[in-house]
Amino acid sequence: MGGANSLSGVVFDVQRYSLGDGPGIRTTVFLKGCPLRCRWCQNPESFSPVPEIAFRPDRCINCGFLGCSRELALAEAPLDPAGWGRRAEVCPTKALFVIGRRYTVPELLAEVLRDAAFFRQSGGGVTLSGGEPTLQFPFVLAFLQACKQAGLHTALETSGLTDRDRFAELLPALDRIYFDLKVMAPAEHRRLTGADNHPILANARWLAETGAPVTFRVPLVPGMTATPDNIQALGRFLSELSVMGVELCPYHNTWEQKLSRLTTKHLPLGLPSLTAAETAAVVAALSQRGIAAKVSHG
Amino acid sequence: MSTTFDLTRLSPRLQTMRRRAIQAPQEISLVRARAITDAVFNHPELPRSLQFALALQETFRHLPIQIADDERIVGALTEKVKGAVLYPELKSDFLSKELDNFREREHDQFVISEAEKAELHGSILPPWDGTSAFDEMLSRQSEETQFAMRNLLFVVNNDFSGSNHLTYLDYGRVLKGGFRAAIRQAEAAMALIAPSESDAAEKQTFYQSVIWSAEAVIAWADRYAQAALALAESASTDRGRALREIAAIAAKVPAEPAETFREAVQSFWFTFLALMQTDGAEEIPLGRLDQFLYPYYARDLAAGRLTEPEALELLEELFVKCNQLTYLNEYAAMRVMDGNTQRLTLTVGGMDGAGNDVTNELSLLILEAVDSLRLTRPNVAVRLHPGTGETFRRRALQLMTGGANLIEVFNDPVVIRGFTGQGFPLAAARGYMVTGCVQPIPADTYGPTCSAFLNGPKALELLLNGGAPFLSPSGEEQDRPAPQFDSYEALWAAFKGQLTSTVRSLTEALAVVGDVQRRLLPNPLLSALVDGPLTSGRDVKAGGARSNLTGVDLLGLGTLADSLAAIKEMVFAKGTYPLPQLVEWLKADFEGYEPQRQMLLNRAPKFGNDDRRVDQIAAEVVDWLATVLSEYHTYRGGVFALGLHSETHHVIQGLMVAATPDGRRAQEMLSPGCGPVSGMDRGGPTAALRSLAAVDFAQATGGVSANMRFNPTLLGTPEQVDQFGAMLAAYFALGGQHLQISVVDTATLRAAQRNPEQYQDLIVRVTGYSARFVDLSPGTQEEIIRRSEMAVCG
Repeated sequence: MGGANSLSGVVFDVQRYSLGDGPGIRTTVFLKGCPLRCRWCQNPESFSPVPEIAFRPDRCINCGFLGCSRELALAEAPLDPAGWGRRAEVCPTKALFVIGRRYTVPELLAEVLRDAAFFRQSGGGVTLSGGEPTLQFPFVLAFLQACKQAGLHTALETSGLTDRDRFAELLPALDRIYFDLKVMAPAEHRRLTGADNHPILANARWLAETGAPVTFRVPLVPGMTATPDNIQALGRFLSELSVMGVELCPYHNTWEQKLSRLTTKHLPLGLPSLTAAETAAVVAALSQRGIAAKVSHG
Repeated sequence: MSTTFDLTRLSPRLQTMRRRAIQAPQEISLVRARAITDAVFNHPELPRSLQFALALQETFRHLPIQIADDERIVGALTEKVKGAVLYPELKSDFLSKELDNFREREHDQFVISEAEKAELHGSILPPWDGTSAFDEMLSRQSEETQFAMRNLLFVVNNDFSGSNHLTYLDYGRVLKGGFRAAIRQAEAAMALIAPSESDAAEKQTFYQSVIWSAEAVIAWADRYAQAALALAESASTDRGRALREIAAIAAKVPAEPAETFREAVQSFWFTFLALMQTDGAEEIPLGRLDQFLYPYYARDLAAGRLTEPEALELLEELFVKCNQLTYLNEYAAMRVMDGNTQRLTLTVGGMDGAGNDVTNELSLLILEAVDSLRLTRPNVAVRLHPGTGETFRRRALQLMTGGANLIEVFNDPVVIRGFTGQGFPLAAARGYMVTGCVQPIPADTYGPTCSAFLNGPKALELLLNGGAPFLSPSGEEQDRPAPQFDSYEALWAAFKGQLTSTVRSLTEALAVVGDVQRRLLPNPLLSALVDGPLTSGRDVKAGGARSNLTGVDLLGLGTLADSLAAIKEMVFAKGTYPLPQLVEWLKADFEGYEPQRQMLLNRAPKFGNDDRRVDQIAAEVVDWLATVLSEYHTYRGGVFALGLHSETHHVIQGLMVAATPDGRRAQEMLSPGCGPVSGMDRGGPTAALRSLAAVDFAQATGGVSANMRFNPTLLGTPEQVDQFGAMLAAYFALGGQHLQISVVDTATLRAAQRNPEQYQDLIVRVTGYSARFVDLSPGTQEEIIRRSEMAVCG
């Protein structure tokens, strides 16, 4: 375990009292780094696997500390941690801040165990999310094993884009996997997420066939994943796997405000939120195939 | 979010009564003021307690009887629909000064007629000028305590009579024995007084005053009986029958024991109103209603005399009537009890003296009545413990999370452990009820639970300014050099010294208060409802109760902890700033030092985020204060109970506190209750609760107020309510004492500020009580909006 304890991972958020990510009261750990570039991604700060410096101009008061200014920060974006790290450490309003903090396994375990009393009472636990958590595989494996040793319920939210062997190794330390299914047509998947969906679907199939505790989830994005064709294809795929339930996460455009405050290359989609009627239509289409869709509001 | 709800769960009769209670203007009644002025100034031959008993008799002889066409429970406090009783013997100066402003002030207005003003100015108020108990209390304070009070190091509770409110009231003894039993007991005790006893005369007077007071209440109820009979003569057949029933009940209770549920409710209501005619009768607790009414309910139901819906309607009628009660507060007091000056706390659930769960069908019916009425009174305190019945717990959780914002919950084990730690018997501790807004009190104990407020951040201001206030409402501010400290430990030791001397002066001030209460404000009627006086022969104010407790509350725990933590981290640990420099910024109110202020705001640890660096400091402050207070006895020989709650003092008293090291600017509000600075808890509800639980609440037997605000979307599904319930249970297991939440989002609150007329029914929890949001002052509205909104993230 000495080896595991020296491992570290980059985490961009630890969210407590997280209610949509598994049973009970949970703490969700967001791991940095993702092989996908989904157009609708609500956590673009998760793309890069390393810590980065972000700037929120709306918070800047032009304090001038260490020669910093709003103009300079805007001009030099993206900000190099080597030069800007010290400024981020003293920025009075946290207009400059580091996204991504390195944790060792014991550090992260101590962080999530703060809410152990709430987990116990509610049947909750820890959920790993991202980014794609499995990108930081050795760390994630060690952390999940440490969680199990501490008696915590564990869950993983994944894009599914990873080596099957990794899933196989993680499975014993996982109580639940939330597996995202997005676009079924390969070319469309590549266009909208930047990645090939073949390994994802193969992993989904393998997990379903091995009887792993997996829950499939679909982000419902208007015109992208929530198209009638895609929903039909998805229904076919799930039926083939004999998976009779799925969770739907309707798209909300409120996150786009976050983009305007961050210096990032990620472009707002300018999409409307999915309406209740559109969501209901998807539910109905899936139920025709005997698939029970649960709408989550996480 | 819609703020309307379904009123049709109420019968048409109750809907009308509810409307009447809400819509009636607030007025005043002079009947009692006249009677007490006459009794005191025209009967100088009588001792004070007999003057007061005489005044009660005169009040009840002259108070017009009001029986509305739709009432089944009768008894009106005054001749107005919503009239306030005046207590000039307690405090009269504000009445003369503010008489013309009650109608014009920004909220909590009162309509006072020209004739009433003329009578007050002409005959009622002049003799009290300079002779009221409050005047006497102030004039007898030492120079040191006067200085501390002028500069708001502490304030003595405005309703300082230490009277009915905030005391363990044993209504059960009236229901069981009636006032005639009290009379018989007093007569028997009188007969046993030996002339040789040194206090024979005082005892004689005390028992006589109890007898006169009890007779006054009985005579008043008799007048109701006669009036109902007279009305029956000309009423319709149905109403005539109802009136004769009312008459029969009023002729029987509260003089004699109640035998049915309805008689018990009626007996309770007469008793409750009678207490409001005695001194400073603000916020009389309704007590453990589900306990003392239950035997009558169960018996009637078994005998087929009563159905559950009938009982529910009687409770609803009782609660609606609570909303016809009001209290005329002076301007300053109105602002610190913003939005609801008569909290009328009702305790439901809990355990008996042996530790058994006592929730019953009546406990559930009470929650039902509160839910269908959606009114700010009574303030419902729900007692929970690991053995609480599941049906009741679920119903309470639903009510707590459903957006009604009417209840608060208490954790029995922590409250009880606190009281036994102070030497109260286990059974008395288990029998506690909640008074005021959040203050528990053990069974058979005379309070008051809320006597004074100690301003924590102000004490730090004095320490950092060489012992003088830097901001002073009385113009005594001084700019003195900041003291030097080598370490945080040295500063902390000096601050403990500052707190110790503030507590010493506060206890001195309260000793004067106690002495004035004993001499000028005896309360024989109340004494008959508390365990002890009828045996000891001494009024409650003279220490006649079986046990005694006085509450002292700390204001601004969060602001104080954050300030000390900022000093510890930024001055001593990181060495970012030298202390004199920091003090200089505080004195400049950060003018020209905004980056430094932002640094203190954003880079120093803040209470409410599960950060041990500051949570530990909050815990140490509470430990120290509780320790210092434990070294004193109260005037009546009881213990001091440390409270961590603030009503809306944190907003008002913040106006008198200079800038603080946590980055707060001068005059901004302090932290509310026992909680973090509003809006500074940013780690979600579990982090905030873990911070709170770092404080040993068993040391805060004076009650704590923990407030949170949730976005309705976080409590919208049954699973979410379950998860909230689990969180609450975990918080209580960690040592929480109290929790109340407002379920309302920021957008709704902002909309209610813009269009108040559309949000008349929007109720929020303030600190330990509920108020209509539109009734709150802008400052308090802002504080509630600033509270972190716990929302679904992601």
